[in-house]
Amino acid sequence: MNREVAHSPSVFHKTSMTRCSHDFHVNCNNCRLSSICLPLALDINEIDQLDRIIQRSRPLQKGDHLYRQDEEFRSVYAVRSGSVKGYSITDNGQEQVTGFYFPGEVLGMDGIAKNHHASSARALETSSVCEIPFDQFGELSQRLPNLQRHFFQLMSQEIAADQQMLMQLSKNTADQRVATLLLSISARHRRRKLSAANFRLPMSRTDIGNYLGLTVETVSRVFSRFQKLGVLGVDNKEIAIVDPEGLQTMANGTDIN
Amino acid sequence: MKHAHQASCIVSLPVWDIALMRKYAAPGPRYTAYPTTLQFSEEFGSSAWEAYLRERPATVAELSLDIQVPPCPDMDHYRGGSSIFMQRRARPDSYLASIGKEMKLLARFVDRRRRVTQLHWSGDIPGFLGNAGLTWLMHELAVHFSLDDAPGREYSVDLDPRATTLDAIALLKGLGFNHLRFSIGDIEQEAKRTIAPKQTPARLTALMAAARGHRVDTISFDLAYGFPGQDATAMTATLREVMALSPERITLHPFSQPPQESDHHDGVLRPDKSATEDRLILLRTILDTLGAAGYVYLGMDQLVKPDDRLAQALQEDSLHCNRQGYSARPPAEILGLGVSAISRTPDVCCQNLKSGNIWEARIAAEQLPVHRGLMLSADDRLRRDVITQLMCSMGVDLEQTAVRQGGNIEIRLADEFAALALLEEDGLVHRDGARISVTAAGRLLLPGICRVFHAQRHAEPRSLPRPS
Repeated sequence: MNREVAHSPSVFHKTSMTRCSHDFHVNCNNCRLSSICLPLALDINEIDQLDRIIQRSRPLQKGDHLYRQDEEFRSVYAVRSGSVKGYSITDNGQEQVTGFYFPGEVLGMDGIAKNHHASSARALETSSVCEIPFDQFGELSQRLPNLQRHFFQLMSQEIAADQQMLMQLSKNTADQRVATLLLSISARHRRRKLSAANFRLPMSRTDIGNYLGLTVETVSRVFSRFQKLGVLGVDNKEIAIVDPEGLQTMANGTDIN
Repeated sequence: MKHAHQASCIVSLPVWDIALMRKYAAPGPRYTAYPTTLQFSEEFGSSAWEAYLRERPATVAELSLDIQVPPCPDMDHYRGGSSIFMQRRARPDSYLASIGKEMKLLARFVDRRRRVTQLHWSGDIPGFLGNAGLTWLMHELAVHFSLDDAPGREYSVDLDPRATTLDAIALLKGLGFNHLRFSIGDIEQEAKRTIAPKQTPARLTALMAAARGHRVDTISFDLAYGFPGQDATAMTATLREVMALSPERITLHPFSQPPQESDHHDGVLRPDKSATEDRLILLRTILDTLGAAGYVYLGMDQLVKPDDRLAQALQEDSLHCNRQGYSARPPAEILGLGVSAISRTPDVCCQNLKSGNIWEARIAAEQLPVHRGLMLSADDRLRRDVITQLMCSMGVDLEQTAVRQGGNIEIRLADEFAALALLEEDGLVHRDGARISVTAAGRLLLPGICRVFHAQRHAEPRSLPRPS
């Protein structure tokens, strides 16, 4: 079974991916994301038990919600294909983008410490997710202590990474913020054994600006500057990281000259 | 010794009087909470606690949760606590399973509308459980209790900087903690000491930078002093490091060798007496140095930066106390979870079992794991009222206390007020009509003043000089 997760071939670098994989018959055992998702520490029998509680719903269409802010926390979700945007509505009614989630990544953990979701999640494109219902998960964890430890390890990494990202973004310049985000997405593609240099950004410049705390004009200006400096190739949503070291230097806050 | 009374002693600087310090700064309870655990009785156990929780009038009041794990042995040294916990570094997974079950047992008696506005994790839980474990613990709390995410909440966690990672700081912030407490030893000498070779200023600096970067509201240091061989020069060097890191709050803890028998809780400290004079010299050095750097002395060996909420609360006479020291939030009922954790309601105090094994066994038997406790009498409440006022308001309002507690309190506590008159002669307190105020000299000796009101029928801490 050929299961490719990224389904929007780059114009820069045609990959071998053949089809989109909204495949409802996949289980954890043969999921290609298994090495980066949950069942890392489990044996086959345990994976079967996990597989039985995991729900694979219909694909989300672009704009569909996975969960909404203040809803009771019942599940965490793993993205199987597509991409999802996390956002919250601030006290003055503004949308604040809180994160972007790609295949193999887990979201919804913001409800773990509160028992209700602190943010909403909406598909940026046609996407499929695995839902891991938490009450059943708790029962399963009693039989499979490995699973519990591994799961909370994964959760804690994600929560810490979110915070690290927020911290980085809050104290940096516009150039640093954009470079940091691109490097983060690049690293996440590499983790999935996809091209770290060529990828498509599923979110709008507005979403990027909102997430980074920059105006959309600033985001576009930074993209143009990076292109001019020969660090990036940009074709609308398609990104080519031409000079990874240069981009890293940008992220670190030193001008490349 | 007569001292000029200062009209507004609540906001004045404390005054150091070596003769008074020698006479009254004896080891003993800090009275962050009264009655102290030494007054608890084993006659009050699991069934009494459960019966109380089941039968009392329903309440939806705010709630404070104290979570306790077997403390880290090293950290315990700093806090001058007991060493009997050292063998009890339970396995994190079994501890988690038991405390989860304890939450379930306790939550049966707690209305879900009660918001948890204060949460404290004692004993370096992140170091004990690791990141996965602490995430699990927070989740379990969120399942059983209504955790708060309002900005005014006080969610604090004790950390041993030697065992804390930068990731853990990010995670704690992500899980909702807004107050980190680092246990700090003798920074200058630590590299040479066997007790704590891992903590270095560089590590602390990195952790502080991370905490600041993640916009943690408040960072406190629990600063131990009086290590063997630590003189005023070494102390000054450590203080220089501390001041460079600029924590919002500092609580001082006299270091002590693990005592033979001690109570870890409620800040009961029993340093060995031979070092008392040396320790006073160090304390003087610390207070002078931190005072010169702008820190404001609150009481109970706690100092804060002048722009800290607690400094403001001191000025406004709105300080409150909890087991962690001073707080800006009105006191909420405290429910304790974990080995040796303490619960305090308006009517009852109790403490969980201190042995990890017995604690687990009791929970496995579906009982709240209470070891000992106390149903407060009218006398206990009166004493608690007076002691709390002394700690938080640096004085006692006799009329208001009488209204709250009923009867003439000077008659009900005749012996105590006679003893207090001796403290007034020594200049620790000042009486002005129905108001008793702690003087500038008395500010440094609050426990010595509170001790007067400690009920005599209970075993009083030994080797205390009675006020004479």
